[in-house]
Amino acid sequence: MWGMEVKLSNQEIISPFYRVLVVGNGLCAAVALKALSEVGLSCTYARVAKLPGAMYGVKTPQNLLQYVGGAETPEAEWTTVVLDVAPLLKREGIFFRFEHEGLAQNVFGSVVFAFGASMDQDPKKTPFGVTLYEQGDYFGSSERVAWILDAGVGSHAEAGLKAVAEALEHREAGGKSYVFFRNIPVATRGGELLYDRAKRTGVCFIRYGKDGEPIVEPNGHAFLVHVKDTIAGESIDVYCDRIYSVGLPDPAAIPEIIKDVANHDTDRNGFLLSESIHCGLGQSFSRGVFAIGGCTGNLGPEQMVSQAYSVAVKARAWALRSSRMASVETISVNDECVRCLTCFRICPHSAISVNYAAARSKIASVSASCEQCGLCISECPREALDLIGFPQMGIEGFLDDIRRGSGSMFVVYGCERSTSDSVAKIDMPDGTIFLAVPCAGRISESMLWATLTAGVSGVLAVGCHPGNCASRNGTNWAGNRVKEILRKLRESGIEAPLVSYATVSARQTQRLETMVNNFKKSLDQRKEALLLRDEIGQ
Amino acid sequence: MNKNRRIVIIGGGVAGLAAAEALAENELPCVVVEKETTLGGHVRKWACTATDRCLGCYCCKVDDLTHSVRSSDKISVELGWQVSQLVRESSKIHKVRLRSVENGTEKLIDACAVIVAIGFEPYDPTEKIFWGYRRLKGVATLAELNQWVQTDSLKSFVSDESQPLRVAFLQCIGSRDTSIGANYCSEYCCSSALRMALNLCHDHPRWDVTLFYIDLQMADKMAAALKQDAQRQGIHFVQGTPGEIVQTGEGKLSVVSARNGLNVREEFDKIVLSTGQRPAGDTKTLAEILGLELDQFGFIAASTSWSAGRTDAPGVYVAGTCRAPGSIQKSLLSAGNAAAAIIADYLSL
Repeated sequence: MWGMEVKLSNQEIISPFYRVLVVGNGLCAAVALKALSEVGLSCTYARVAKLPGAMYGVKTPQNLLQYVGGAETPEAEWTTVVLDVAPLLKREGIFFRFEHEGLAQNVFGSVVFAFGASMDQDPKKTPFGVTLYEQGDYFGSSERVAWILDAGVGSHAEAGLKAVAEALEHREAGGKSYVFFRNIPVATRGGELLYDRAKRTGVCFIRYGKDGEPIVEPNGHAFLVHVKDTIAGESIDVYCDRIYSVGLPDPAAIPEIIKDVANHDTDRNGFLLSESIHCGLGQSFSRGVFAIGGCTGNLGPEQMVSQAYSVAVKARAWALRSSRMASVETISVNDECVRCLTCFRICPHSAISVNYAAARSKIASVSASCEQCGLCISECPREALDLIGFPQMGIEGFLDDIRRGSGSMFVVYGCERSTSDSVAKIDMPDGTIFLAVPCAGRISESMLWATLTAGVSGVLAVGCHPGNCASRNGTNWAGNRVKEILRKLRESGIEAPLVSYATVSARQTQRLETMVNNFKKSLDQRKEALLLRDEIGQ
Repeated sequence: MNKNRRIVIIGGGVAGLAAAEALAENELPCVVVEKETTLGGHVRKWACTATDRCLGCYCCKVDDLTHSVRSSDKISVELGWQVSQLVRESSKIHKVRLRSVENGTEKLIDACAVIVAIGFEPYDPTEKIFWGYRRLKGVATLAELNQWVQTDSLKSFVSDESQPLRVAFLQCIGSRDTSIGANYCSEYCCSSALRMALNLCHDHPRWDVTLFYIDLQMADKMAAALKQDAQRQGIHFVQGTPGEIVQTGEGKLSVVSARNGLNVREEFDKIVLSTGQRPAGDTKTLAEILGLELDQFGFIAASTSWSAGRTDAPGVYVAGTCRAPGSIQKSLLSAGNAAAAIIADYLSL
């Protein structure tokens, strides 16, 4: 690879940082391998026969060339091993270890999951128990064929679009095509043109509404579809020889071991990588792990190719970053550590490693993976960890200043990413002290208590909106700690909102200003109420 | 290979910034040329639509990107400049001439490749008089609404936000419209309008929001969650885009929509037009300077492969909505694709 002291032509001397293990099957893996090799990474392909391989819009692997362009995929550039089940993969510090007989290099800098999606749904979930739409099914040109979109649990846009293409093809071959739908998916390049052509060629599109899902009845050798067209508002009966129900891909085909390697970074449906905007380009919160294709819930070949190249760039950047940062320390660990592994479990970036080789197992940070959010430090029950870039000592100094101060101070702890820029632009109310923290997750419960007892009128913890945190859920941790403190205060008879938690994004400068001022106002009101109470008491 | 030669990225919007970040992360030097005086493009003016949680609009990505571009020593930024000429030496890109937008002075910078990321232009709904845009009080575009929410100046649109209000979003304004040569889906607007609707409902519990659509296009990971939220918030979905907006005597906005084969007249206080994406105004000029082809809609044509970001002109790459309309996420992906292509081609540039 140029720009580095390694050469792709001699596999022997490639540093593990630049080696990628592609775990997958089918077209997604082929595209991933091509993209990763093109940017100069050295690939090993673990082809797992059991993983789904098909991408929805592609009938044959030959079509792949049309999507990725250029010459044949240069298979000589990677080693391939074929496996029945997902490989046993382990994280080892910054690397991944994959033991396999005959494999010279078994340590990798990153892992890319690249496989298709399974449409093998539970038959019970399939509306009307009719055939699931399978790409490339053959049907005679005299047949009347219907595709049902959006029924039951819904249908995937790419699968729906492919159904329109198949309906058009069947119609052009002389058959009769019906498409029952609620929304025609056209949000893809050429989608609208395809839909236009299908309409003009005579594919019959019937739109049904919420209360008018098609009812399918067997009718001799054919089916009778009973549906209420929303536009005409009338019931229509259509006779068909063959019906396809277009559904959603099923995440059940993703093996547990793959989810483990990805540190369970999955979305609400169970596909790989969360829906967070920080994972939108195919890189996991769990550093060094990437995913593309059907396993991410994406069925479109165009999007898959796009994901693959985007991942290739990110994987290459990751290789450079991890090799550069290998010797940098981000977190210090003292002797208080009792190996409870809290840090290991909660780190969103898989940046904590356990070193079993030492006499006493040691916790260490994997610096390249570490985003220095400080979640581990906040949750460590022994206060054994510290962020080198944002040390506890600095916070102590900050609190000392407050203790020496006038007493009516009001403290705002804000996540650097979402608040720093805004704070510079707004007028903070008098007596406000702001401290930027690397992530709201660093605002520990003990830090909040220490601040409260340092003699401030109140503390406001500000994080990113839930779901937007760059460290997955650091902001939620902060929110829960504030709730916990309020609960404890209530238990000791203090009802006042001394502590509060708020969320904001970097572009909500006004919102931050309003929030800070409102909290300050509520604190002032409390002060007045206390004074009033004291006066009455006297 | 001359390592001093940089990659020139034309356009400092979300695609251009993402391409710059991707190249810099891969230790390639680049320069972002932006004709405006600020980075961020359209997205800079768009609002965060988070409710009690992030809805995944990706707008804050532009803040993250601006940060990382500003702090990278691999990236330099030229604000207020436009590309006026491409200088090739034996078919390879050698230099790029920039012209100052303000005073027309010119300068030459070293370059080995160019990424075009000039973005889109929102459709101008005054083109069709029946939308009533700029003619009827209470009709605005989704972009304007975003800007008001972003700058906390919704008051200029709605005098009393605490009062009940009927708001309608009209989808596909300037998209999926053959009569204006826009026979394509702009892809971003359905989810964008719905997120904005959810944000409005969250902040204004007394508002009643209706969304008029042709076909709802929601395919990302958040789609199901957004639809659930919409149901919980009681957002009405009406299939079909009304043909004309009329102002009634009481100052309400009246539209006709089709339901169950009948025409129904409905009245709203405010109507928001979800305008589609059109090719940016200077696409044609720039295409001529760089030797690029345009597609049938006027967007920049990529070479045969779908997504790799290459064009037919050697050394010229394309990213973002100047190639095809789409969402922020799609722009980010395409920026990655252009960067990947440059990394793959770098030795021969």
